[in-house]
Amino acid sequence: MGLFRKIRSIFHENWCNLCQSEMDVLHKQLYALPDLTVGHYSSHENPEYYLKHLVPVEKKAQIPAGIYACGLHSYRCPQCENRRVQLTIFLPVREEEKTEEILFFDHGELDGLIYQQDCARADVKQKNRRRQDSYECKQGGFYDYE
Amino acid sequence: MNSELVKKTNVPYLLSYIFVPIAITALCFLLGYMFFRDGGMGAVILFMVPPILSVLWWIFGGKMIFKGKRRQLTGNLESSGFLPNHTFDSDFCTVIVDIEHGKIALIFFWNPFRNYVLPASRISKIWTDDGKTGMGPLTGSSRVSFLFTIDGIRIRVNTFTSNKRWRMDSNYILTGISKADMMAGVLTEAKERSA
Repeated sequence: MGLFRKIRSIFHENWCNLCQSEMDVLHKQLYALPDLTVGHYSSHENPEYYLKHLVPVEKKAQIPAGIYACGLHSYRCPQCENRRVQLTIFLPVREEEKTEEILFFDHGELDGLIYQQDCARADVKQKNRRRQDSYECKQGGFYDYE
Repeated sequence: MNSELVKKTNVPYLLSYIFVPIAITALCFLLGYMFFRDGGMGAVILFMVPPILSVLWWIFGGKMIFKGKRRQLTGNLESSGFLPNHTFDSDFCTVIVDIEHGKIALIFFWNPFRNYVLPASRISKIWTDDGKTGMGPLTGSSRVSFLFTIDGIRIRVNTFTSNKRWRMDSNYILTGISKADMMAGVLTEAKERSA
């Protein structure tokens, strides 16, 4: 039973990684990530990066096209008091979301982001920045249908 | 700043790009037939080298000229006080936007010897085309682009192209739509500042 639940917990992001109980959501917030733009995504696992670059927004419509977004969920396990923060980094495209990465932080690395209200206030539009983008061409074989 | 009409294709350049290698190859074949009818190194050179060079020219020549002219344009813009806030390189066109001053610069693949620096107020319409065709589960696209019209001339800039159709929720299509929406927003902002 325990093993079966451990396997099931792999597919449930809101289950405790220690006792496999369903965790409570303590806090959730949507952020813009103006440092990352479409076509220039790079993975960052250092929590300092997110503390520095995440800009809180109220809804997806506030994030300009081509800029990555980040959903933060802070969980707490009611059984073992384990705390966990989940960051889902995605590109909002009209009604769709292109998820790039889901990161977990188990040691309170992002507490500053959750409890400190005046976190990064960078310009979401990044007006003074120079950007270079290019088109993408995907050529496949004749029988390589998708 | 240019006030003339935007010309996407330079017809003499396009025709010479296609037909000059054909004419040179034909001339070499004629010379080979006339002077090296018995074969030899001369015949090999005249019959083999021009077709190979022609194919290489058609594949790489245009791209090299376009890239060179694009680089030159970027350098000239920097020195003239144009702030290239956003540059988008596509297969047949490069768009450089100066949001601060409300200006855009354009250079076209089939008209690389002419570039256009225009006030963004001359743009009359800006929109995104996701290339969506088909119904239900067959819905898909093989091209995403953003378009704008300058003095009634429609300019299409591809953000994604493929020889296959992709589902509308595929990563390629979503990335293409995101780039197109982003550029449409940048152009709109430049137009508002220019007005």
